[in-house]
Formats: sequence, structure tokens, C-alpha cells
Amino acid sequence: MRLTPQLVPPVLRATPWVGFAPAGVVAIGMAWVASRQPPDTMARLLPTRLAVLSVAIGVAFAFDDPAAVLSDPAPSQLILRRLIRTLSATLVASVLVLAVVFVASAGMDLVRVIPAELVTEAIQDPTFDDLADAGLPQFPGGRIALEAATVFAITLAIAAGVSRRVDPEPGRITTSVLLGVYAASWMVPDPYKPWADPSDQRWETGAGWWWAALVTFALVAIALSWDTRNASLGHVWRSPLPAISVAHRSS
Amino acid sequence: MTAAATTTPPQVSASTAQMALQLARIETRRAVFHPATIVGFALAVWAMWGLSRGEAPVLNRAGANTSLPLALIGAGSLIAVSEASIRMWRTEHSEAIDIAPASPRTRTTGLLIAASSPVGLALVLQSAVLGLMMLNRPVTTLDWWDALAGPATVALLITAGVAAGRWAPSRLTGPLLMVLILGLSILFGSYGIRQEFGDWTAWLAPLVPLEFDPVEIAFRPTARHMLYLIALIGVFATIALLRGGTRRRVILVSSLAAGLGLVVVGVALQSRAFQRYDFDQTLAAYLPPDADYVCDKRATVTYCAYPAYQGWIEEWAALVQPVVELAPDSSHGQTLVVRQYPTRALDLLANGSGTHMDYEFGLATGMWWGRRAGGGSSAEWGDAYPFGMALGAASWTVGLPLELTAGTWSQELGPDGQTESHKFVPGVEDVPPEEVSYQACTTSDQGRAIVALWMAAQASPVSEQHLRNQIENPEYPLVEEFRNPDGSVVYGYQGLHGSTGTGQPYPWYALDFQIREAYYAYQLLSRPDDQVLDLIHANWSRLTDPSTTTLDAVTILGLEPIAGFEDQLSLAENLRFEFNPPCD
Repeated sequence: MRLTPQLVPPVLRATPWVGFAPAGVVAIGMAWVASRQPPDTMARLLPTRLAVLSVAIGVAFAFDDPAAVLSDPAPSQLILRRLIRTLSATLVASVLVLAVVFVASAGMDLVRVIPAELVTEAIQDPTFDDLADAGLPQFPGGRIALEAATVFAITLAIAAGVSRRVDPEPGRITTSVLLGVYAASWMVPDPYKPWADPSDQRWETGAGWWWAALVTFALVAIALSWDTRNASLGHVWRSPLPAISVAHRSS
Repeated sequence: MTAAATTTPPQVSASTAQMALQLARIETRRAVFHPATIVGFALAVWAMWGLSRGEAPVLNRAGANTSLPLALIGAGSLIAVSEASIRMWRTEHSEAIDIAPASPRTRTTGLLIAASSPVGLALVLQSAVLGLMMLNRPVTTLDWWDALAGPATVALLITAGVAAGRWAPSRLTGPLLMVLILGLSILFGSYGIRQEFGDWTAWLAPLVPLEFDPVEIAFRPTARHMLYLIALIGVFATIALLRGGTRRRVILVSSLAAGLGLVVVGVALQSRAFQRYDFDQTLAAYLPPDADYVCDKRATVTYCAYPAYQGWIEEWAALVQPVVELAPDSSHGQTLVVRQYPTRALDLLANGSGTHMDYEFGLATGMWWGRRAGGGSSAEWGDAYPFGMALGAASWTVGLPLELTAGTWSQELGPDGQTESHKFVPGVEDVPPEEVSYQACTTSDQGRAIVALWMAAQASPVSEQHLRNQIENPEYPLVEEFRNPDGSVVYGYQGLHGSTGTGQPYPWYALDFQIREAYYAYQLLSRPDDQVLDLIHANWSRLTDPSTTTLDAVTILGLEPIAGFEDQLSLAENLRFEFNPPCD
């Protein structure tokens, strides 16, 4: 632990920050797309979620560490280096998400949680068609933050898994896996779909599932980052699929 | 001499075109077997399976519906080729690539040719799904341009991926480009942008999903859109080739200019087509009296379908006829008309916007149809359509009205002097036409609703399964708490949720059935059909009397009131009562 302060500057230097720049630009662009929609929750949720996904693509490269093989026998533990990378990357990602939420909620009330009675009132309106018509100009900033944190945890868990078994620069494969999982999550049948809007019954119950997923994937990321010395990273590993074969660099 | 000859390196004699083709062969294998392409293909198959689950095939919608999932193949391939296109900038490969005989432009050409393999995959998948639809009693005809938009989008995404990878070589390029294209597609199709610039903006996206309205009414300039897509593919391919060489730059720049010109022409053509399109006139052509119908009278029921949909008449008759024949006096001296409408017509009327529709709807059905029974109460499996049709016929048989109730909305102050409550007042005497609104009537606490629901379940195994699913696998709690703005809690029981997911609730907007009556109809299903039918025939006049309550019917039919359920219902004040007047 005494090494920690000395580790911070080199680890921060080695973290691929440059990925956050294009990811941030696309994220803010998506947030702008959201802000161009009418001031109702339903119309702005999807582009906002895409903005969060853009930030997650930046996070996916947080564990890229070409020197992993060389630093493996170093006295500092991998978990410590990962912790520094995770904290710094999520800090930048959080700032981006905050910016996204502020841009996307332009012209709306930014709230942590949309009060249930407002939704009920809108739904019970006899002229109710959907919330966009009935008007629900509250932007659920808290829910977006929770979803973002969970998506980041999933991203880091994938990156940790990929770097442990496949590649010391897991960002490339992580983004592909993340996008595949993301697309699949939108295609599951409604009762099981994690994505909801305030008019869905799953909106309320879904918060609990998002929290559970956040904790679970954070723990998975920690577990997979604990120690790679006994994992196959130090050995030649070749995938049966040519595209994810690893060019081993230890020579 | 022999030794010297064997040590001389082989001369590269292949032409640029041959090299490009050889590279294309290698890149094809890599692109097709890349995990991202495989995942995209798997997701596309999954999405296609969802398409073919419940709804009967309507070919003029099949093109758009099968094109949309293909974008997943395009997305996966985009990531695969963008990785391939940045390969020469990745340090571990640069040396090996630098000494290769092929120039960067040749490698780009090989990559672009390799794009045809994911396009081929997309075409195979789409053809298989369309082939299956062709075998499943389809109606209408296929819009080939709409169908080809899917494979064209795959090609567009791949060429965009190659171009972006060549000019912005980064590992983030592919994923971020994908998010960007998705975001732009959402932007172009979004409500806000369409309100500001017109509906044509949606057609700036590569793929345009189907609208709420059927294809016959929702304008789709698919041929013009194909020109736009091909122009975009050409533009991105040229941009990709412009990187990595100076030869033939003039030709490439000219091609780029021509491609951009074609894009502008494509956009202009789409925009102009929308300006010329008259929605109201098109809608009117699908409504009586102008609409062209093919009608078929069978016994006491007349079935009227649009010519392209007349294949469904057999299926409608197979549901309606058995239900009508269950009644002791099946015709009450009248003829039932089953007529097809665009869903929009029903929607406009239900929202009070359709005051010009001063004709009787009869048993209205839409331009969607489903056949299969699913595993849950959700209507996505398509069993809501046959059940809705059968319930419409059964409702007519027991004397429930098929037409919407005309009336007006009144706003009253609540007991606290502030809260406004809405109340629907039936009757339109002395009411200006612009204030007339239409509302469904509720069958709540009417015994004949139980009879109608049971009769509908007798129409076919699919319709029976639908009713069973409503009770056995409810999508929502049967009895639910509602919190008033003043904090008080009321209990409401659910309506019978039968929306088909395509904006076509069943049986139509005129009747609002409740889950309570469905619960008792479900109980009847556990008894022998003949026994139930004898009981209904023996008490027909009482059971179909509007004043016979649900509990009266429960007694007549020898059912046991469900204690817990009725106890809860005694507390219940169904909120929909306030909105929907009771059926006459």
C-alpha cells in the first residue's frame, strides 16, 4: 500500500485517455440529439442512453496496458493498478455523463427520480395516449446515472475478463462484446428487458435490478482483476478464430 | 545456375486487380468469421425469428421488416472491417505490411470487395425469411426496393467503416461510428426534427422502419431511397480509396463529386415526393364510400376486404361463423358486416378526430392479422387477432353495440374545488360537430360479457388459448392500486388487455371488456362445452339482457363467485367507469 501514491502518476500516464476525446464528442453529440426532441422523458431517453454507450466505449479502453506482461512481476499488485485506472476512468466518464445529462435535459426539469404520482396522474388522464402526449417534462437524471454506472461496470468486467484470458489490450474486443451485449439487451422480450420508460411497470422494479447488476459486475471486475499471474496472459494463447488471435509480445 | 535460380526471390507478377482480388479473398474470410460479424448475424437471426412469430405475412411490409434486422449484420461487419482497415497503422503489423507488394489503395480495394461477403450473408438470410413468408399464405406484394434497402445498408455500413478506418485510424473508430450512425438515424426520424423540417427527414437514415399506418397509407419513397443509398455507398468507397495513393486522384475526386451530386439528387427526390403526397386523399381512398372492397356474403355475415387482402376472408369466416352459430337466434334478423379498415381510421375516430366518418363500422378489422397462440398474455404472438375477431362476432351475437358511443367530455371541479375530473356524457343532441367525441362503452358488470367471452374462446384453439393466457399469465396484476393526486388509494381491476402491438386493439374501440368477466368465462372453459352451451341456450334472454349483472350470470351459469376476488372487487372502483359509459 505504501507504493500506491508512487504508482498513481505512471499508471495515469499509461492509461489511454485519448479514447475519451472522440467518445466524449460523440456522447455530447448524442445528448444534443436528445435536446432537439420535445421536452418529454420518452422522446429523450433513447439518444441519452446512446450517449452513455459512447462514454462506455471510452471506458472500454481503460484497462489497455501493452506493458502488462512486463509489469506482471512488479511488486505492485494488478488490482491496485486497475483500481487507479478504474477510479480515474470512471471519474472522467462521470464528468461526461454529467455533461450529457445537462445537455440532454435542456428545457426540462432535471430530477433524480420522477415522482410516481406524476406518472400515475399522467396515465390516469382520460386523454392519455402516451406520456409524450400527456406531458412529463421531468428528466430522470438519477436513473440515467444508475444505468450509466451499471453499463460502465459491465464494460470494465468484460475488459477485465478479456485482458485476463485473451489480450493485454482488451479495449478492441471489449467494445465489440459490449455492443453485442447492448444490442441483445434491447432484443429480449419485454418482461425481461432491462430498458424501460416511466410509463412501463418495469420502470419502478427495474431500478432494483440495475443496482443488483451494478454490484454484481463491479464484483466480477474486481475478481477478474485480482491477479493475473496464474492466468494464461503470460503464455501464448491463440484463438481458433483468427481475428482475436493475440500476437504475443514477450519475445 | 540451379542453385542461384532457387535462391532468387519470386517475382511478383500479379496485376493490381489480381492482388486486390486475392486480398479480397483473404479479407472476406476474416470479415465473415470475425466475432463481431458472427454476433451481428446471430442477433439478426434472432430479430428475424421475432418477426415471423406471430403476425401473418403481409408482403408489402415484409421488405422493411426484414431489412431492419440486417443492420445488425452491417453493424458487426462495420466493426470487423474498420479493424481490418486500421491494421496497417497498428504497430505490430506495420513492418510486415510495409514490405508487402500491395499498395495501401490495393488493400483498400480488396477490403471493399470483401464487403460483398457480409452483404451476401444478409441476402441469404433475408431470402430465407422471405421464402418462409411466401409459403405461409401471404397477402399483398413485395416491395423489392424496400427489401433491397437492407443489404444496401449492410454495404453502406461496411464502406463507411472502411472509409472511417482509413482516415481516422483508431481502435475507437468502428464502435463510435456505429453509435454515430445510429444516433443520426434516430435524429432524422425523431419527432422534433420531423415537425421542424417535414417527414422526409426520416428518409435520410439508411433504414426507415414502418410507420403506425400500413404501407398503403404511410408514404414510402423506396425506389428514390435506393438511389440515395447507392450514391452514399459510392461516396464512402471513393473516400476510402482517396487515402493511401496519389495515382488517379483526379478520377477519384471526380467520382466523389458525382457521388455527392447523386446524394443531393436522392435527397431532393425524396423530399419532393413527400411534398406531392396527399395523406388525406390517400386515406380517403381506403375508407367508405371511396374504398375498393371485395365482399363475400356467407349466411348472415358479409366479409369485406381490400382486394390485396382477400386471402384473409377465409380465415375470418372460419372464426366468425362458428361463433355466430352458437347463438339460438344467430342473426336477429340482421346481417353482420366484417369490414377492413386502416387502423388510423379507428384511431382518429376514437380520439374524436374522425367526426367526418358518419357511417357504421360494423365489425372492424385492420390490415394486420395473426394466427398463432403464444405462451403469455402479451399479444406479440398474434393470437389477439383471431380472439378479437371472434369476440367481435360474439359481442354482436349477444347484442352488444359494435359502434362507438358518441358524446362529449365535460370537465367538473372535484370535491376540493380544484381538482378537475373528466366525465364522458353520451348523446350528441344539440352538440356542435366539432365537440363530438367517441368513446368505447364498458361491459363491466354485465352478464352478457361472460357469455361473449366464452363464445369467442370457442371459435378456435388459438382464441381459447388467448383467453386462458389472459388469466393464467397476466401481464399486469388483475387488481391494482391507484394513488390519487390527493394521496388516497383506490383499487381498480384491469381491463382485458388485448392490444396487438400494432396499434390495433381488439375487437375494436367500441367495447371495453374487463378482466372480472374474463375470469368467469375462463371458469366456464373447464366445463364440457355442450353442457355450458345448453345452459346458455336455456337462459339466453336473461343472459343477454343488459340489466343482468355479472353476479346474476354467475348464479345462472352455476359458477361459484370467487370469494377473494369479489371481496377485492367490492372495494374496487374501476377508474375506467368514469370514462366509459355502460353499454346499452
